Amino acid sequence: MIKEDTIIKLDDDKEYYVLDSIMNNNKNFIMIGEIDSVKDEITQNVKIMVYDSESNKVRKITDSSLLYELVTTFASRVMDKES
Amino acid sequence: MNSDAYLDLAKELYENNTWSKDVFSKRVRLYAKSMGVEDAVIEDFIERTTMPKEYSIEEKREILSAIKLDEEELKYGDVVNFIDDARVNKLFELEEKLLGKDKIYDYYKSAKKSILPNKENNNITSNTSIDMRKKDDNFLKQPEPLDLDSKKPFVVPPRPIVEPLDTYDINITTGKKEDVTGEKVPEFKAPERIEEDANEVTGALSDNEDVNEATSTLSDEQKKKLVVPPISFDDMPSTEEEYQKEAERITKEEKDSSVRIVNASPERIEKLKKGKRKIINFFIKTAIVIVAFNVLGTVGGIASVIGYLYFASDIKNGRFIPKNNFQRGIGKVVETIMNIGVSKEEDKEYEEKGRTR
Repeated sequence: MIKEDTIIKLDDDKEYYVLDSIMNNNKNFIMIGEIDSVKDEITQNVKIMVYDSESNKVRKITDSSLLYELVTTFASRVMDKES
Repeated sequence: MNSDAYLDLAKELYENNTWSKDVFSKRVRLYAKSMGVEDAVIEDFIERTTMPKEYSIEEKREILSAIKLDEEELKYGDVVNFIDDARVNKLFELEEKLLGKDKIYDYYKSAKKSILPNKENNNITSNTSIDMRKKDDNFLKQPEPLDLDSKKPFVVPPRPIVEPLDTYDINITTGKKEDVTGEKVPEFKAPERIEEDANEVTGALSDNEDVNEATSTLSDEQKKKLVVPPISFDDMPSTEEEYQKEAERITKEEKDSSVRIVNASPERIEKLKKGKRKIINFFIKTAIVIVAFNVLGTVGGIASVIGYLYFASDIKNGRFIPKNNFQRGIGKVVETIMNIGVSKEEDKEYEEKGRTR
């Protein structure tokens, strides 16, 4: 599992900050934001991905239905943290 | 246009209480030609609407009726252009006495269609208001534009029917709703606090007097919940183009990628962490709108429960300040959604008191 507040590097040789990470049904879904290498800050290029620990690979979630479920789940977590 | 000749002709029509072919032809030729209608079109009209003998009023009515066109064929603008002339109104008054009110309007619609085959030939202009508009308000009336700035009390709309989300299997590899791999995508459930929050949340954008009246019977704690400060919308796209661009980025396919963990200093993590909340807020708010619309359509999408809750939370916490019509539109939809979960008794109370949200 990739933990929240971790920095990862993908094949595009860019660094990403793990904004949030959830486990569900043995799958690790992460919300990552690209890091601006010059300013060293998180950009608005945010993606939701699923991490496969066996292959150590991530796959971008683009299916609307699944994306919807994940976004709303992340949203509820944000609200829980803020409340 | 020679208005004297035209009005003299109309007067003659009225005073003689007759309508010979010659008079009719002269009148049409004068009137139509002055508007630039081609001679051939005028002659065709005269030929089709006259007979070689004098007609009684009833017979003329039959002729007019025979050439009457379907009302739907006539465009609103054509009618207005044709009758929007003070001189024509005088003629209307005269001809009403001759033909009767029930036929005169039909006649002008017919005449307009016949002698003015296209709009380019119609050169009539006038700033004078016209009586004919009063004769058929429904036909001439234009819908009023939406006033999103209106401070009128918010009327609780009918409760939208939101179908429960399907439970389905999604192959993560393909993204399709089919059980190819046998692996079921976990079912994410909406938090149970939705209805509870919906009951708590009330909207802003309201008239203080209405709120005071409506809240006079509530406890201090309840009143506190009803007071909604201005809301910020700064951390969201503000135009449809920006949403479109973001939608394309979010749904764009990408290749699988291997992952390498970067060893970062705690100081760097802390620095990045400071901007985390703003980025998450932007993404979630934007993505909720985009993916909800993609999945559930316009109404159902924005009505998605968590999406509603997230916006409602912002409204409740005073972070929602729409700056343009597009953002106000979203705000209105969210306000509508806020009614989901509100009890029927409260709905009645809102309607009876004209309470704003």
